[in-house]
Amino acid sequence: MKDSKSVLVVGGGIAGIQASLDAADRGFKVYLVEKTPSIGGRMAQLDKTFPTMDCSICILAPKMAECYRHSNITLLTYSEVQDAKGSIGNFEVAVLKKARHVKEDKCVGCGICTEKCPVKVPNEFEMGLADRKAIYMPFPQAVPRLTTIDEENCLFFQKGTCRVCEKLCEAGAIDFDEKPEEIVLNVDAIILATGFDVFNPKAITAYGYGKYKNVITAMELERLICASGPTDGYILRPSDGKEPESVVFIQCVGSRDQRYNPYCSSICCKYAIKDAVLIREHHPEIDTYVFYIDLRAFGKGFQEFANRSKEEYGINYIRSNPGEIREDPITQDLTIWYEDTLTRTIKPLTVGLVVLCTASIPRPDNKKLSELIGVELDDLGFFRASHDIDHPVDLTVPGVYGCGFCLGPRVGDIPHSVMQAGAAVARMSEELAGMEEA
Amino acid sequence: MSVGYEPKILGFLCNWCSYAGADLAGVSRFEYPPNARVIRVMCSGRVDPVHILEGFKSGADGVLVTGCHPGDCHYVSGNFSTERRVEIMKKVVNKIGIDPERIRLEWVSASEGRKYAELVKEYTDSIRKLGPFPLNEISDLLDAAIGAFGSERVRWLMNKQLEEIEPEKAENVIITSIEREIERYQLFQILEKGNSTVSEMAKQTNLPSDVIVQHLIALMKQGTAAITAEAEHEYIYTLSR
Amino acid sequence: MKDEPRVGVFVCHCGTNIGGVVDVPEVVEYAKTLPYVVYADRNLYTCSEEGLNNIRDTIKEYNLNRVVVASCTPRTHEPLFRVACQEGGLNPYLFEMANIREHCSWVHHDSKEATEKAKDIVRMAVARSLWLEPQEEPELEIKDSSLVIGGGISGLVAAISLADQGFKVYLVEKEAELGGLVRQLYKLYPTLEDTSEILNPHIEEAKNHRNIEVHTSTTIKDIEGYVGNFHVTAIKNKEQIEFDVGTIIVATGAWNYHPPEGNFQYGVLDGVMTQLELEELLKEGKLERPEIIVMIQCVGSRVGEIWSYELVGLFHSQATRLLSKILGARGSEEGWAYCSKICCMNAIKNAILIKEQFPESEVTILYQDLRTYKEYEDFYRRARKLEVRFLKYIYEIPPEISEAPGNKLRVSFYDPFAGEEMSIICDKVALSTPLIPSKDGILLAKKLKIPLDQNGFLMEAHVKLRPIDTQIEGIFLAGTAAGPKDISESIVSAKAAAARASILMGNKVIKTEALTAVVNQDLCIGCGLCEELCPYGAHIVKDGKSTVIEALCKGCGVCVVACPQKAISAKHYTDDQILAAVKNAFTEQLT
Repeated sequence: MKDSKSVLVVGGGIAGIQASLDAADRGFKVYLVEKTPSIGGRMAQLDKTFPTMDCSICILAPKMAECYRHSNITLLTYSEVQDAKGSIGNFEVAVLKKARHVKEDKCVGCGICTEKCPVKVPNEFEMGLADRKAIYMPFPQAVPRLTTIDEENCLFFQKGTCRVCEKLCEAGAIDFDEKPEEIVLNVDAIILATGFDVFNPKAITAYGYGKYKNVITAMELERLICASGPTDGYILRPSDGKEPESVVFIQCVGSRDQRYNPYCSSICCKYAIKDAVLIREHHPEIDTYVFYIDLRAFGKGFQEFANRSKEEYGINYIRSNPGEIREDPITQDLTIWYEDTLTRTIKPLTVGLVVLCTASIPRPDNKKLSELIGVELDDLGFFRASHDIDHPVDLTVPGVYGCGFCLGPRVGDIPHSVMQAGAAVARMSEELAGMEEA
Repeated sequence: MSVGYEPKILGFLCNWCSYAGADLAGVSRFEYPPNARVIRVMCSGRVDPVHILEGFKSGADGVLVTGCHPGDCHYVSGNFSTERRVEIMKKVVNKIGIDPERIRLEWVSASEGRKYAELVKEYTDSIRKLGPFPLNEISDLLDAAIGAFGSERVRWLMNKQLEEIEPEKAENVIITSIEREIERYQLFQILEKGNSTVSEMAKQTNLPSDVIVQHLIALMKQGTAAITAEAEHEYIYTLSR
Repeated sequence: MKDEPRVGVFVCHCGTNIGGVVDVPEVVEYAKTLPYVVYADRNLYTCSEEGLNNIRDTIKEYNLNRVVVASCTPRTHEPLFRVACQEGGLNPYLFEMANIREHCSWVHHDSKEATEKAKDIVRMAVARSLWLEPQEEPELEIKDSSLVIGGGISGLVAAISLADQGFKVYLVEKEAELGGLVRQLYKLYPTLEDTSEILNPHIEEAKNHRNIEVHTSTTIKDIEGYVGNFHVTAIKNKEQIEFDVGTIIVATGAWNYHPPEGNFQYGVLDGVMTQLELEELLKEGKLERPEIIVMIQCVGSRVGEIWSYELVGLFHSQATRLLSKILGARGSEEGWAYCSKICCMNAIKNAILIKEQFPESEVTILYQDLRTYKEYEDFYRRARKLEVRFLKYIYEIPPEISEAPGNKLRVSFYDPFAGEEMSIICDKVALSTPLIPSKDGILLAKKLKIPLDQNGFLMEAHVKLRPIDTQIEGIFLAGTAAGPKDISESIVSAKAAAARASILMGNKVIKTEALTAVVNQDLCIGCGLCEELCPYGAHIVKDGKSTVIEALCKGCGVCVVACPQKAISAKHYTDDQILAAVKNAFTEQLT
């Protein structure tokens, strides 16, 4: 294969990172486009990975840094695909580089601007459990390591005053006049790795998410449990900042449910077991319960870990799909009425914190990308593979491939996403080599 | 034992299994006592008996060597070499007044984080019971042993497969030979400090006079020692080099 | 020490991972007091871009000739910091790591004790660093051909992918025909296509591909060499063939487990069979009329922690551990601890096939947890619409099978939902048994020095981020050799293995192990002890002197300890370097 082939990778999570690294090592010129200011994706937000309990950011950060340093990779963060045309071997893609208002070549990431910025905004990376500023670094290990001004919240852009960051920045990196820039790329192939979104459980009113403060989602818990998260790794209730006496995980919130998402998200059982174990490790005094329909601990080492979680960590598993949660208005404790389908008894359980293991759902961006590039979506809104068994990473347009959770909850774990990334690079290399011969 | 005594443990961990096992103990947050200081080597087969003895000299009360389980060695058979060396060493040090428990060989795999944590805890407790290493009491002997284990003869004996002799007999031969080598190094050290006589050497080493004479004859044959004078019916021995 | 050392020490907070327990500023202050340390400071995350830049810049600014990073484990982060050193103009082997996270802050809770230990660890690293020497990584050529071991679906897919990318592939299969375990299947979930529709085109393509040499009825006899240049000897129909390849993909697959005779009446009562045997009946059209069929899930999987007796002898290293487990396990039943993950879908698939063929059939699936992950949930609903019965049994009370009048079988079990003992009279019982490690895979792993995981599957280099690579450079895993996978997942892993192998071969050269043994020719007397001990044949004694073949030496150091003349040293692990750390483990003896 000639060494001048190029590929556009859309999405900077673990799947997109791995696809970029494999393609770059294979000799491709890679453009990695990421919507947010930093690559890292969901995996950067996780505390630990299951079942090895590796610290997630610890194993991811070296890969992120490698992407940044690789001579074959051009990182286009805070950027979005605007238009695409052409076909395999000759795609023309327009990418909009949003105005960061911080010059990449000048910012040293010292953080003084974020310290002094007067505007507080809910921090997306911390799932809204902490605040960030209008000029911000998404998280400490962010790549590239520079700040970004969020125009929607910046006082200068909204009211025309302030400019504190500009005054304080010794590097002179702030540029309020920066305009979005459209870049046109010519690439031979496209790899989509847009990842997943989290189902908003507000829709299920019986669980009271959004109404009861102590009902949170698993992604929120992931930040609470993380030592570098908003509570330094302590499990504290949002209502009173106190440690709960007990925590309940409820599985299949918005998944395996015809009203919302009929499929199984395939990761929730596994992370719930992990999180329950982590809670017991951090706070052995907290009782933990997992409500499940079927405990789906499949995959390498998972069943063994599930067994350990019962025997060594004393996690209580209850086979039930609870109907309703009620809050005690004074203590803000939560009472769950449930039927234990194994003992066929109806019981109440009162706990301090409820964690909803919500469905993983397609990104809304998939629709736009499918229209621009011409690839089909499946009935659920994930990218459709051209053949479920035989061509699991080929999308319905030649030269366009997918990897990671945007293909649906395939196996939906990190190793499989990494494998899909490799597979996408292999398919791309095969097809482009075939074209060259023809 | 002395109150508040905290034993010092020196650990040698092979890179592929045991160091990874110790990493896993960390990743899994298995708490263990902070008494061990560890050194990473690529294979437990790289751990020289001299390294272990130098460990005692440098303040360790116990030395823990860990490697891959038999059959799992990243380098096929490195851990078998280690096992043989440590077994012989334990028997030899026992004879010079070091409790063999102060040297411990264990297998810890990359997935045995819990085992590693428990091992450090258990070994620390075990050494705590033994008390501090008697460094002052046996300092000279330890030096002699360091010299002996670094010597050509001992290294050959510890690593050569003696196929023509029955294994048990072979081990006895090896252990006795190493003991003799240590004795010889004791005399060598005395002579290094200055001239000496058989009776003075016997006093310092507690070795019988005839044994000392035998060693001196051997040293003279090698050309290492020589008789340079005579005083009060005794020869005075000097180092030749 | 040839040059006057100038050591820079970078202590990492790792957020709160280290900084939350260890007093990092105190460690930095301590490091500054150590001899030859000309710079010491701390970073929030040394592995971040900022941290790495700091290393690069400080090397230049302070003219450092040694760098010590006190942070996490060198097993994951050493390569990253070495690159940073190199970019700062320092030979990467003049870098040393002090692991104050995995070995300190994560395992000790007392801040004072942990800080003291961290200081000791830093001192040991600084002491060792003083003795470090620059090393070079020789470049190795990579042959652009690959050996794929196993001609099942994974092997086929990997071979075709590499061949399509222009690499020469030797595809070796021990059976007379290609196709592997998949060949025995009837139809594939979730599309219910005939297996042949997927498998046959791959077989034909492999056979006819000009870049693929297919060797069936062939077994691997020996593999010598190393990444880039493996020499393969195989036996094909009693004849020996030999060839050289640059990379190897192991696709030896898995076995389907057969319960021991009598377990669930298998092999005792007619009509009790494995799920795969039932599928073969379906494939051959031998299910001729509507029948009552009960399928039992998790037979031999999720049942304690013991392995198939047939394979126990192969895991000699863990034999003792095993034995105690066998004795302590549930009854005398043998089984596998893990979930085989494909059995739920397979049972549902066969149930659907039976119900579609004979709607009057009665099919019941007895399960513990129904694991129809991802979109397979639809598949489950489809079966329910066809009135396949799903009943739960519990682990503690496994179903029992006995004879019933009229040449029938009785399956008795406790239904926790109904809260009572139930029994079903049926014609056939299908036992869903797991995929288990194959003997060929285990034997090959031993040959190639690839470690096995706790269940006997070939172990990946990192479970999360390197699921395809092995610890041995140039050897990759495809398909179920690494653990249970369905066909689509196997294809993904096979393609990924091809990608990983193609990167090596496409680049044509790699840098190799710098840390080999080296013989001081002046001291060597040619006694030959090193030659006798070396497991890799890397020492060759010629004309009374031993020399090391660098490409074969893996740097274990066994010869170094043995050499009576102390003529051999291990690069980067010399006696001086190790003893410097030993001597500084408890007290400062730096000078």
